[in-house]
Amino acid sequence: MNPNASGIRPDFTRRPMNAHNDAARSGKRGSHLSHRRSSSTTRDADLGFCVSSALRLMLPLLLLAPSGCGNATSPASKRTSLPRKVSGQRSLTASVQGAAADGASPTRIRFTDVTTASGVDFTVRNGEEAGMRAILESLGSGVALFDYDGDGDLDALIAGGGGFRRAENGRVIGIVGHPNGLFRNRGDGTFLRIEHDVGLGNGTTLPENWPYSHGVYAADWDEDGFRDVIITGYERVVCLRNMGDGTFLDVSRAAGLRDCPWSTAAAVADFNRDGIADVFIANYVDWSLENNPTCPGPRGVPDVCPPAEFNGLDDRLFLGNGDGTFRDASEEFRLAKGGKGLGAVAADLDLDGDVDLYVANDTTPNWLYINHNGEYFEESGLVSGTALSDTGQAEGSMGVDAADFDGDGWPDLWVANFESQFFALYRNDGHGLFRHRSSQAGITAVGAVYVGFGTVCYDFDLDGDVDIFATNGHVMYTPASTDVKQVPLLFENDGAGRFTNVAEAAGPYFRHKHWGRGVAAGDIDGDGDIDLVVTHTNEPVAVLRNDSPTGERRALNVRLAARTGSRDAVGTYVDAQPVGPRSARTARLRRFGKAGAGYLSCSSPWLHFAVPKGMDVTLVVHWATGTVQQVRVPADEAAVVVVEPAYSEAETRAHDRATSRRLARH
Amino acid sequence: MGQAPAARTTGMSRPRVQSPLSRAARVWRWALSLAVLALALWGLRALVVELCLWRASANVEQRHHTAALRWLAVAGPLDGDNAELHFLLARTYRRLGRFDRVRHHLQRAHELGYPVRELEREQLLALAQTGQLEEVRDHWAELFQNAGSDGPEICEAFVKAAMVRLRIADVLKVLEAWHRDFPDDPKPFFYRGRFEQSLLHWNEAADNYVEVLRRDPDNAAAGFRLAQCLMKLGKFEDALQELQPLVDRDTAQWQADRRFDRITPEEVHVHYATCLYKLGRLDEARTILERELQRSPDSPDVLRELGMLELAAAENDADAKRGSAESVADANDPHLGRAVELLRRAVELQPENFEIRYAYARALQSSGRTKEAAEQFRFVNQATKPVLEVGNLTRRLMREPDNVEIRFRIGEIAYKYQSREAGVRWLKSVLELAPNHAGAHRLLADYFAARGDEQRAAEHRRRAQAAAAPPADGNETTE
Repeated sequence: MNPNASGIRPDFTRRPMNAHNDAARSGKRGSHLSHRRSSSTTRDADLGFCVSSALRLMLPLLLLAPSGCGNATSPASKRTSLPRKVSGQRSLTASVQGAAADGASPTRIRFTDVTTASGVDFTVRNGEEAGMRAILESLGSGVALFDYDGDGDLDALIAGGGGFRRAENGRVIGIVGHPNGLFRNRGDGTFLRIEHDVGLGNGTTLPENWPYSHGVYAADWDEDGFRDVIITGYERVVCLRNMGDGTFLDVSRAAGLRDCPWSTAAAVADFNRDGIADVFIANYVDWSLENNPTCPGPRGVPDVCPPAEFNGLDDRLFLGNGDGTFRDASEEFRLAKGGKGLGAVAADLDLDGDVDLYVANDTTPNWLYINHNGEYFEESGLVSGTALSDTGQAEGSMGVDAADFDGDGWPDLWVANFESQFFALYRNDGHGLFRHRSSQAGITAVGAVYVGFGTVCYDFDLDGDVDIFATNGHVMYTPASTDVKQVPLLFENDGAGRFTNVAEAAGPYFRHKHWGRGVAAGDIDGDGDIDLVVTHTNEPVAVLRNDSPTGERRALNVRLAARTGSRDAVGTYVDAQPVGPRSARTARLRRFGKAGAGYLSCSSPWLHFAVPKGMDVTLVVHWATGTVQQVRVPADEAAVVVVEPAYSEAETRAHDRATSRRLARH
Repeated sequence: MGQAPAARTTGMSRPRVQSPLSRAARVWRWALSLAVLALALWGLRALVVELCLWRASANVEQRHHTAALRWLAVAGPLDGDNAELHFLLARTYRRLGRFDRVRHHLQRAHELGYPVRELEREQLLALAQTGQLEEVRDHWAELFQNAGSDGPEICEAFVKAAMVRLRIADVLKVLEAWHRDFPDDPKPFFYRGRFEQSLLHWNEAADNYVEVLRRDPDNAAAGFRLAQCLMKLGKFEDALQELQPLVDRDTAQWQADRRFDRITPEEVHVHYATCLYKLGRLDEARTILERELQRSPDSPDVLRELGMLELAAAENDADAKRGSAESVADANDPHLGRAVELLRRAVELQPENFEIRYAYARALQSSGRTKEAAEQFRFVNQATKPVLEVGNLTRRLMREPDNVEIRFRIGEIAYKYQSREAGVRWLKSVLELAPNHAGAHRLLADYFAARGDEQRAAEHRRRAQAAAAPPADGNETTE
């Protein structure tokens, strides 16, 4: 039976019966009009207008489009909008955008914005003023906290971003980098900008060659005891060797980090277990000035094209040669092709003694590279459960970190995602398997309205568990659903791996919207707790001092210095166990030596613990080489450097036993 | 008979004598009176019919359709063969979306001699309203020019057509005009909401649904769509509130609400349960889904949601056992076993749905059935890249709405990896633009063959072959 035959068309028609008609068959058509509540007089008046105004709008369209319902050549392209503004009790946008209000629960965490007092006066630029609306502008730039001058405190290096160069006729003909900002810590959390040329291009010698910069990573890749710098960005990777005298030498050409057309994240670790630092570089998409399509934004005006418009670029793994140079081992290590990498974290994720790697890709599945004894990577994102959302969707992933959120000893994975997606917390079950637990962990309670970028996972309130900070901001200039600037998130851990967003109560900075991008964490004022430096696009960098009151715990910061692996001891993990009569009541804390974590940024290499006050602590260091070292830290020590022993595991144990006996005698 | 002698005996009244002539006159008089009365009634009836039709017509013009039907109900018994009566009934029923009655009345009006031109216009509008847009394609200008009081119907039909074709500028223009002319009409907001929702602009879509609900607080479709948006935004508590009144509806209310476009009670209950599940209220969610499963044992949506719920329950059990360093879900956990079974059935029913396959793979993996899980993961892996293409393709299609190949590719991906039904809708839209598209015919042949409709499968197969064959006249086929 042709249901349409009984539906619409009687026999008088001169045309044949059409194909079946689901709508007619089901009889489903709204009768809204019969429920209209307007007065008949209004309706009478409306009727004429409908015809006239619809005609006014439609006739030119129809005349141009003889085929009927509109035409692609329609002259009118300016988007008009219905009056959508909702106010009052049913206002949705307002309630959703103010989602930070969800986090009004009491918290001990307090951050004070001390940017002005700190002396860090720097703004990352993205070239917005050129009006290009290029995807290049959307990534932003990061910050690294590291001790560049060897004076024992954390200095800050901020990638400057970049812009566009125009010809005399106004046409954009090139891409330029902005100077980076190097700030030396005076030791008290205030900084002095290093204005003279230290090889960072913030003087006048290198501006023409300086790339449009994104990521800034500090690692001692030449193993000389001074932390060197890798700056990622458009078209090239800059390698700056720390000369140990407060200056850097640009060794990019010699280092050999090539074939990185648009580099973003980096992670320096000893991936092949040869004792020499290697470098992973994530690359983004194949955008260029020549491949720069125009994309209409949701408001009808041209805006930044989404990454889906471009092809992903291959990431690179460079193995260190031991002389400060590198060779490309991407094929050898079986790196996946394509991808649109923005974040990466290297750590021993399966606790088997080698360094694994997790890569956050923008709109494509994330990758989990399980290291097979330093010989090759096996990409197991999908099977491990870390590639997709809980419903099987690839997400727009940016910032990433690894930490033990639930105290089970395994490093879980944390990913900051795009709007309309939830930030992902992948709980590590061991055996290389993870479970998406954002919902159960309370992460989804803040809604899916944030575009998450920089993120760091630390114990901000010194209560023994790992909390999460994330800075947010849109990639488009005229987003449909939210503002370009967004409030940051601060998830406080309840100790069992359940989180509450307490941002609003954590300080004025958190109540304002920012165009957030990078963030680096570290103890910049030397008081033991974790402070933050946050970069924003076209908005000054913020320095947030942690003023959280301490409770029953104190900070213990631990610095690892490896002898056999890469010096930064990535892949090592450390357990802190209080010693004393109350030790049974305090759980073991585990922190991981990792590289790359966050977004285009590099946090302090110090591992941060909150241990019970007045108690000695035993540190059990599981070096990546397999050596396990125990170190007892007295109750009054706030920071300790642990150097990898030069002897075997058995010897280490014997030594530690002797040390313990000695300590006990005293 | 017994009374006449009594009258005679009393002699109190003079007996009447009726002559034959006077009796005849009386008969005539009566006949005449009856004739006059009949004539008067006839005239009055016609007058009443005219009056009713006039009032009905006025009410139709003023879009008071219920009142119009009342007037027509009066006129019907008086003059069932009135062409205008049937025409007005057809128009009113069309406006009310009761297309099952439209055809009959148009046919009757035609038989009774109503002008064909008017009837054809009604037919066109009915076709437009029921989505048979191919038929109407060349008549939009005519319809807009002679919109009369049919403006909202024409606007609605046009918006639907333009949305299917992703003609964004046209959609927005007509919605704007529609809203300006009928500011109290919730429909423009509803369609704007649907439009924004299709672009994944959840906040904007939600705002529009809120506007619908302001104008029509009981609009279940808007409430449901609003809840969907809220769920996408992670606002499960709010979504729950929007769904609650829909869950509380009884069958009669569902049947009476003709605004509830393509939304079933099952969908509402599944969404409601999903919200509960996302809020950690697994037991409540399970109760609802179990009930729905009893009602619809072969519903992929119910099977999937219940399967995922059971998987989550198994994972919660595993979390509860935390303390040992490893807490992989116990392969013997009853929730896990149930999850595997439910998801297996869901996969059987919708093998193309990669999301169900992913959930099934996870359940299998948690159960230790890694080999079977790997097979499902392979499918998901295979689907990931094409599914990611869809966003880009949709954006391109917005710029080139008549690009048949982009449209076909979206349909093909949907058909293979998301939903056969969604894929078929896209493929049909391809055939609207390119009736001889070989690829579309081929997939449709597969679709109908899988459904056992060999006749239609054969027809599409034949057309696919014809389209793929080298053209004799040198013209290229569309694929």
